[in-house]
Amino acid sequence: MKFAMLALALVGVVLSVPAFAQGDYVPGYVYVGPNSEYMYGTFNNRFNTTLTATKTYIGAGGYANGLLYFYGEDANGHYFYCYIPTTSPIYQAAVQIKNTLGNGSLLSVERTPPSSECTSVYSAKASHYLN
Amino acid sequence: MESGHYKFLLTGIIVVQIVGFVALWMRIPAAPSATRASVPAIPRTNPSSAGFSAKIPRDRVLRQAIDSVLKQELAPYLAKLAAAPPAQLEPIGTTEAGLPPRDSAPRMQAARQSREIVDRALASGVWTDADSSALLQVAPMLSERQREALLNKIFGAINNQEMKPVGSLPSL
Repeated sequence: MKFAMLALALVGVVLSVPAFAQGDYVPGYVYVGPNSEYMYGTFNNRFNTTLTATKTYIGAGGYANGLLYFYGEDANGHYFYCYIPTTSPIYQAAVQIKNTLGNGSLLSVERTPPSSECTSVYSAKASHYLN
Repeated sequence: MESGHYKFLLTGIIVVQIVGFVALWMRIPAAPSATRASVPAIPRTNPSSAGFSAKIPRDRVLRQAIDSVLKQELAPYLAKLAAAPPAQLEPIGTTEAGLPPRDSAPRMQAARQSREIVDRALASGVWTDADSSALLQVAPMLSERQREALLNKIFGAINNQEMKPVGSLPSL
């Protein structure tokens, strides 16, 4: 009897371990706000296999000492594209943000219509966005 | 008899879960103390102590020696810099250096072509790779302000969902 209890206890311990060892994970997504005034999303949207109306993407790019771009498309087919000129007060900071983007990144950008110049850029890196 | 078995099994599972939980709880280290323990202690120095004051003359001598060597080495370069006129720096992005005058034929043609490319794409409702490469060909003749104006037009249409980018990013 004692052996059976001990075996059960061991099984319980083993079964309990995965519940504690599992890290938090947020499936990748891209969301474009009304009137495409803002967009936020995570770079692991690349690995989200949920069927959606359109294929999502999010990204950034730009020439050295030239215009910078942030862009994306959400699951409903809404686009968001904005740029940052070299004269913008947030240009240097945005370049740094662009260069850090990658696996585990969350990106959030805004514009003030009708202009398509980015007025705000935010990024974060977190374990639950990693793939 | 069977209900006795179920009771025993249920009791067993509950006991197992509790034991498992307690065992795991005890294995989780206290985070703040671990962090604190991993940070090496910074030795405190007393500025008025003999050890600290004894170092100052040696540092001063070393600094003076480095200063004199640097001054000797840099003297010719400093003299050259003093003789040269101050550099005229333009703010980033506003420069049109390397470009022909704004009203010159090549620049006027580039501006017209770029407008045509964008207008054609706007009319079709699709931005393609061909549009991107056509725009890139005339882009070197455009100033940053002209590029910005074009981007506002392209991105504005995309943001209004009036134009769909099906190819590469319309970059300038």
